[in-house]
Amino acid sequence: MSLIVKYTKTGNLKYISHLDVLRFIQRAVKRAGIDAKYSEGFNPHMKTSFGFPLSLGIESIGEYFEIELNEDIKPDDFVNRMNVVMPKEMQILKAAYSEDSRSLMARSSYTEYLFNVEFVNLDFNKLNELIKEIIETGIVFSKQKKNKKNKIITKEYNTKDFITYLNAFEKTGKTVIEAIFITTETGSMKADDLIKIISDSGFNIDYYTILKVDTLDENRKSLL
Amino acid sequence: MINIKKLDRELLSVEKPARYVGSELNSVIKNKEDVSIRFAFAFPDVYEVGMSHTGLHILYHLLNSKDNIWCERVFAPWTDMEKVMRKNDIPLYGLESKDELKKFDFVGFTLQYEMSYTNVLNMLNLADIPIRSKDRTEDMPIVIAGGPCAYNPEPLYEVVDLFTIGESEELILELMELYEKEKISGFNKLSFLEKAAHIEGVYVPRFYEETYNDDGTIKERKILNSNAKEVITKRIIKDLDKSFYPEKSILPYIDVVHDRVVLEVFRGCTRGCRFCQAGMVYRPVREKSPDTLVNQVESLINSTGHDEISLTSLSTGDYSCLPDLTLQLLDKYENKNVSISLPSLRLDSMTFDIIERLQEVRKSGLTFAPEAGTQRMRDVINKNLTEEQILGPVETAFNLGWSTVKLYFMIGLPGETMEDVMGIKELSYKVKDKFFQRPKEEIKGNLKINVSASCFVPKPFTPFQWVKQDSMDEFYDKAKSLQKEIKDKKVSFSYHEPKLSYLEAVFARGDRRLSDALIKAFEKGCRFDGWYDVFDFNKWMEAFEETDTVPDFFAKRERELTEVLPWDFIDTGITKKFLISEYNNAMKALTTSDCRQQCYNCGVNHKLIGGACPHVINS
Ligand code: SF4
Repeated sequence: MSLIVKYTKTGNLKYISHLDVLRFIQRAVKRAGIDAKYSEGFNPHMKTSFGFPLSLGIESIGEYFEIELNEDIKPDDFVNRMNVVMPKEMQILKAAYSEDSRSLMARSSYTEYLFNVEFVNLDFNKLNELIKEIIETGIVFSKQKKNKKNKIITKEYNTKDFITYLNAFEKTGKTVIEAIFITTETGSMKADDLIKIISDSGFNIDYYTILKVDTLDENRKSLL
Repeated sequence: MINIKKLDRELLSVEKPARYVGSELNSVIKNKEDVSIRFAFAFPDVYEVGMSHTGLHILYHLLNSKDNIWCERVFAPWTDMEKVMRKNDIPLYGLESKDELKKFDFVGFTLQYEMSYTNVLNMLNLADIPIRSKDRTEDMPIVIAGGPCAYNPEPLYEVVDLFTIGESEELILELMELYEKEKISGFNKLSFLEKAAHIEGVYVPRFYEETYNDDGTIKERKILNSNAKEVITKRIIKDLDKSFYPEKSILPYIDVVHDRVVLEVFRGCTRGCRFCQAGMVYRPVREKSPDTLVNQVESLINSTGHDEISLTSLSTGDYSCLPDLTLQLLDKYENKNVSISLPSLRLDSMTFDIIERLQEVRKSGLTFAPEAGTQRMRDVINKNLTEEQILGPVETAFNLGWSTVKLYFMIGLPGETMEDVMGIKELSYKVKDKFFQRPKEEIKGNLKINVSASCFVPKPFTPFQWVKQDSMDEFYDKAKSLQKEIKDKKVSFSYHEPKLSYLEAVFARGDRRLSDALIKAFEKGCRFDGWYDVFDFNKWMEAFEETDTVPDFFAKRERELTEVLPWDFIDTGITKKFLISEYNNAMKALTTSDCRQQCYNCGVNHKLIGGACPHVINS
């Protein structure tokens, strides 16, 4: 039986890498005394699978993993038992048995973000113009990547191929930018790249934080 | 609190930022307003090393079990983080509150190895706390230190306000109680230190002065403050079953050195190896009962979800209830995907049916520590092992299917000849022969023997505290000859860097006159000296030179048995008479048996227990 679980990764846990999260959650399952399925073999491991890795430094209230269980546990019980043994920065929000046979990654089509940006001397109209350009005409940016032969190459990307929604507003003196990115397997455009594009366009950013709000399916609905 | 935005902006640029943020499960957050004592447990090495240290977990939770104390952790920032902190003016902070260290009441260092001393200095400096205690004002934290290196505290006498000698679970609370009282009645550092000096096991270096003879040896120690004691007696916990042990342990998010439940089964050791400081200073042997251990394992597994239990001690195979305990644990956890490992196991004393069930051991290969290659040399160091006692278990292990074996040796032992050194090769080849001298059909797997040699460092409170260390040239000669001679695809040889062992030897038996050189080395940028890729030997040599310090005086000099040694004022329970008789036995290559069989009156019986050691079989 496969259970889909939605969880948070906030506060200092934004500095914890994907692999470490994976191990941490498996241990939490053990602490909670939940009877999970293990692979066969000499070195058995817990049967879990995770969504696309979240970049280091980004908080999230919409992370997912899938776990195979031996016991027929009510999703709500799973949530409660897990939360007792999880830190407040990583809490289970929801769980449900899945009917979809596709993997979590295959189901992830979009990622929704909130950027909290502290600008110095912001001209809000100019920001709005930039936002329009990013989604309508698109801005070409380049990134260095390793190719298959491990050589470093420079590749060019266009923002409009990766961002489908972008909107900025001001809230209690701070600037909030909402964004929906298209999820790609290669992760060609990261949330951080948007910040870089904005600051490269002449905006002075003093400080920012990024929150991943959710992973959305092909119908732009939350996975859970 | 430090400027969090500043920290946040920079953290992604350093390796493993999780080292610097805390927030682990079972770490303790308290309300500042509710506590009166802020204690920073400082481990002078990186997070992953410090978090693998059992003592940290014990003292952290012990201090935090008191409502009026908040104990936090701080580790040595790796070189990349240090740069970031210095560049952006981020002072060193406690991981839990992110408050600067300077605001704490205590900064308590644990001294696990001499090569971490520059990190101690660097951490104080990063916290903007003056390195020398005389430069610290009343409102600055009291800097205390304990751990194995505190048995010779003198090289740090200028830095540390107060040392704790021996096991500190009880002592630390007495110290905190005193501090609390003093705080209420109007705190004054000197008066606190004077009162603290009356607590057994506390050493306040500023209350003493040392004078020297023309030949550089110590003339005498003078007491400068009437509150100071002539002799500082180490503290021990009498009953480990009743002693505090945390029910929870902090669970790091990132991979640490020991990613498992670590449980000490007993303290002390009866083997009496003459090179081993721990074996001497941690006497007497005190065991925990299997019941206590099973309960402790259970609560630690439940609080962490770890899948490995490691039973540790100086010589786990000597634990009197080992079969009982391991079988109990195996029965309980084998089917729950929790494995058990027994490091520091002497395979001569172990039944293989238990080991066979410990799959963790199987994966990592077996470790044997003959320490020396010839029987004569093993007798000198009192490693009571005959060749048959080494090769017998090796053969059993091969028959049971193991094919990877690690062999640990030392070079530069007292009285060592080239023949003894080559004995390392010969013994290793005999191990190899054991593998192939079996019927063809039984030879399975690919044999791999990893031989490694470390350079002997004479330590205080051992029968070898008077001997000279080999010169670096001698070490290189010996190591390189072995490297040349061991030419076999199945046997690989590696050795520990002599330069590191030399410096370790200087500080292990150093005195107050090393303080300037240490501070100089830090100022020149020495950090993480135990990490060979960071270690800068030339800077150290410059530091000695510029401070007119002769390191050879400490490392390479044979001492007279009558010489006043820098650590003589500390009483570990073991008498000098015993150490001298062991030294004499060593010179004649005479062995002394395990004191489980017979008591040799080392002194801890009369001085610390007030009677015979309970573990002696014939008593
Ligand atoms: S007093 Fe005797 S039995 Fe006890 S540790 Fe010393 S030698 Fe061993």
